[in-house]
Amino acid sequence: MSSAEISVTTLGQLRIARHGQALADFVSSKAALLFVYLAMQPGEHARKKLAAMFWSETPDEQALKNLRTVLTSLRHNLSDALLIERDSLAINPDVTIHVDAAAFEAACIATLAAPKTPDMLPQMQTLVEMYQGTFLAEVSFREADALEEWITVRQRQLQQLYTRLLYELIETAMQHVEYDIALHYAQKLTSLDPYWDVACRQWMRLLAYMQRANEALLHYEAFARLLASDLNAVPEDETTRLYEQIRARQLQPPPSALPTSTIVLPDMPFIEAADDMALVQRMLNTPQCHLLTIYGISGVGKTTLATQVAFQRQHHYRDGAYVISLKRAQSARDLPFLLATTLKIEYGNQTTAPDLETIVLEWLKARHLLLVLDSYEHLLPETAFVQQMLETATQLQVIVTSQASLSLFREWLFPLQGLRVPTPDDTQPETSEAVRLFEATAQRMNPRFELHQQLKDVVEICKLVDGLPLALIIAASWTQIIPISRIRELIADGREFSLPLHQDLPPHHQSIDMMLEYTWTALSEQEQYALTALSIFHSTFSLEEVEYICEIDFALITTMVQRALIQKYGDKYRMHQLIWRYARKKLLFSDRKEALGQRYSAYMLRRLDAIQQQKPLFHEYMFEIELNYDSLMNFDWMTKSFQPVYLLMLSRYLMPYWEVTRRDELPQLQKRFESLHKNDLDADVRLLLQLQLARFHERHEGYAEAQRHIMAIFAGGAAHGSWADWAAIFCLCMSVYPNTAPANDVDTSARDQDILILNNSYHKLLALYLDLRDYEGAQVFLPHLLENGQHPVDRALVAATHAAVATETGQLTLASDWFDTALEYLGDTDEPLLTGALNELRSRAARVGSSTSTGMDPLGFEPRTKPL
Amino acid sequence: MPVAVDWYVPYRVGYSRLSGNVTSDDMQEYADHCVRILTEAETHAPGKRTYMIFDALELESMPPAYLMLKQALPILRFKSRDAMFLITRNQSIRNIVELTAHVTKFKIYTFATLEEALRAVDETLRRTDMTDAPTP
Repeated sequence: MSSAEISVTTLGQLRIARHGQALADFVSSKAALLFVYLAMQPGEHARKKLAAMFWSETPDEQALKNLRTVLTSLRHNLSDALLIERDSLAINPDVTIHVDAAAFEAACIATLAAPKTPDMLPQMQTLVEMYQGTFLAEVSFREADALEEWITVRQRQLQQLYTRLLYELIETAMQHVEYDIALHYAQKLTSLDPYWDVACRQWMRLLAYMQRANEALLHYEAFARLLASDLNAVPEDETTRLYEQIRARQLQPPPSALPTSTIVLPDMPFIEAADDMALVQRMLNTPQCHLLTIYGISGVGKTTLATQVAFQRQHHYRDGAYVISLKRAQSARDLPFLLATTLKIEYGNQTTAPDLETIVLEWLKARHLLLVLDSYEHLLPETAFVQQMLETATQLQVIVTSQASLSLFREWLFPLQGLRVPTPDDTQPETSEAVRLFEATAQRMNPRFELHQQLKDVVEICKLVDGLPLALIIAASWTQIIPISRIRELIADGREFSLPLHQDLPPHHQSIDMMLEYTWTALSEQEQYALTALSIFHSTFSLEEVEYICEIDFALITTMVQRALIQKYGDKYRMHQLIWRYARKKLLFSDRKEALGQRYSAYMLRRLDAIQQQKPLFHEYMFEIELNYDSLMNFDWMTKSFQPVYLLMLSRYLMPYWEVTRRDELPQLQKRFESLHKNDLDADVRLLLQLQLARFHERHEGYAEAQRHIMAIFAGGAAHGSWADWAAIFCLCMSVYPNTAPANDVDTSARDQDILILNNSYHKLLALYLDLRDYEGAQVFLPHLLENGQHPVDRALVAATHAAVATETGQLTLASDWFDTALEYLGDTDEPLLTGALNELRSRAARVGSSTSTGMDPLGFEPRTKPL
Repeated sequence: MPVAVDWYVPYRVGYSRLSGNVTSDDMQEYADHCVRILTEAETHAPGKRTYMIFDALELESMPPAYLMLKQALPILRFKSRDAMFLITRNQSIRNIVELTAHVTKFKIYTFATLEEALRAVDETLRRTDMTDAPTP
């Protein structure tokens, strides 16, 4: 036999390969198809018949000629695989050719005929994976009706086999209580033909066997809606009968699927979060995984998930699976006793702790079982006995549920974060996990509950509780009493609504508030402070922000991640929304709010400074601000008195952005600034306030008001304010002064209109450059404005701006010259306040020169804003 | 053709579209077109305000127009020019045009779709003096 090894993939994308290397240079798709046909139809084929089949609408002579061309192409790559005779063609039987469709078909027929024992499952799963798509689905060709018919028939045959295989695989998995496997393939089968009653019934049965009857009923209802809308049809009678049977709780798993179980499933709706179940199963299937901790905040569904997993896996263990609640344990010393009691270990009179431990460990030694230790957080940090169990009993697997991990090296971790909530662009929010759980719970309380009428409120509730299952169950329970819109409002306001609806639940599972209080009281003071501090962030936060603003060290962050109080989210962190709101309430009454506000302010100003130092173009700067805007404007938690001060400090950086992009917010900002009591502010901040108020007025052509603020600045003297602020003040004056000067003082009729238009634009650009601290850019405009100045005061203001910029950038000689120039321009004009301010600034600039040789460094990293 | 300028409502509302990667030369061409239609508007509808739709949905990049004041000067001379209705979902383009509007002092309204912008244009005209805005 030849060593040639050719593989032909036909299920999905057509691919012919030799020794794994794809062969691509066929003259046409028909060349590849001819090879596929010959490989799948062993034996000799007459050339004439093949030509007629592949070119059915072409005259015989031409078809034979086409066939010859195709054969020439095939010879190039596959000459050894073909036996080419004058009148016939065949595949060379000495060459090994593997055709996936043929292999799939043969294996399928054999598998379907075999008895369905549990060990058939892996084989069936492998076969299902072989079917990567419809037979030759993506191959296109023309004028070959007979070939097309052959492909269509083969497609139908193979798809039927695949469908049957899936159906049998699901049945076998159900029969042997491998529900997670069954569920996975049931989804595949349904997506194959969403209108097929048989698949619908199978899925309903499966969900019912899994104790998820509500979901089975919802599935039927969705199926009926689909049939009605797409096909104007109704489900088959058998499907409807099954629905009634499930609704009446009359459907039981077949006897063979009912082995003895030690697990009691919680009697509450269970919606599996994404692939949580599959992931946990996969971890437990790994031989090295002996201890798996499912951790998360209270109410996130740890117990439910662990119990479901134990229920589904119990038959994997020779000695079964057990769920042991540790809620009543006082300490880790109670653990051996709880184990002995639950596992019915005989311990006679040996009641001392060491003896009992030895007996339990000895009993476990030879056992192959799964133990679920539920609510382990009560026993932390004690883990010694768990470690001893794992060392002694090599066939033991332990699932721990806890609010924090055990911090053991051999521990595998599964953080639980709640159910998926609908995203803003979700077109089918009713299918999200959180909405499904809400619906299932509400329908338990009120069978007439209609999701579609209240979907918007339900989606909002799901978002408010961030998909936390227990919170959803509590909220949905209230639908029997309170209108759903009111429930949403109550949760949004963080208002308590805890009436004992469920006497059989522990107190901390009775209301959202009690659940959060339970979590909160379990925290150390340090953790409580950390969460309070972190609640200043609306959504996500970085490690740098945590360390700088909240002064929380990395060790504490680590602990909080291990306790699932915060979660890693990409390269940042986030807090569960419910915990965030609870911590926010604590923040309102925290005496550290003021200090946090100061540090937040300093951090944001530093960040803005860093952005400016990258020298972006204006629109790039705007883009950066847009990206950071939510964080920058996150001030509603700060003290009421500090909020406008913070905004005022931000205005140094954000004023151009507000003016250009957020014009609607300007009136509100102006009100906030006007609410500040000037006497409470230090002189620098007071000057900044006057400047920004003047800008607000100038923007709306309120030139007189703007000038009033400018005059107040000049009257306050020039001893305060940064040079950047003074440059901005003079720039603003350039636009305000000409509009407030007496009419006869400015010869408007003589003005060149173009210069006027350009000057207006230059003023705006100059203000933008100064706001960005781009002084090189700013200085480009100053000569133009000086040249075009219509009045001595205009030119004096340009010179004054130049002087302030020069002082800011440390060019002190230049600054002195420009101050002199400005004062010369003012000369005999009647501007005593402006003249006084310029004289004072000139003296101040000279003092800068005498105290430092290089002047201020405007490009230094430290924010130029003074601490308040 | 990256630049296209024509009338949406003759002599009242111009419709301009820029697409792809627009250069400074393209911007000069755009300015020339704007001057042309503003001149036409002044001739055929003297005393009326002229609006401009700026369809930038397919515009990928443009130079910082707010710095091109000399090129813009002929447009800025027209006192009849009124608001611009910008259509874009590109934040960078939006920033450039808004900065240009700020520097050259004209009103701007921004929309995410052509339909929204046209509704706003029709409403603006209805509120002024036109009621016969044709559908493009």
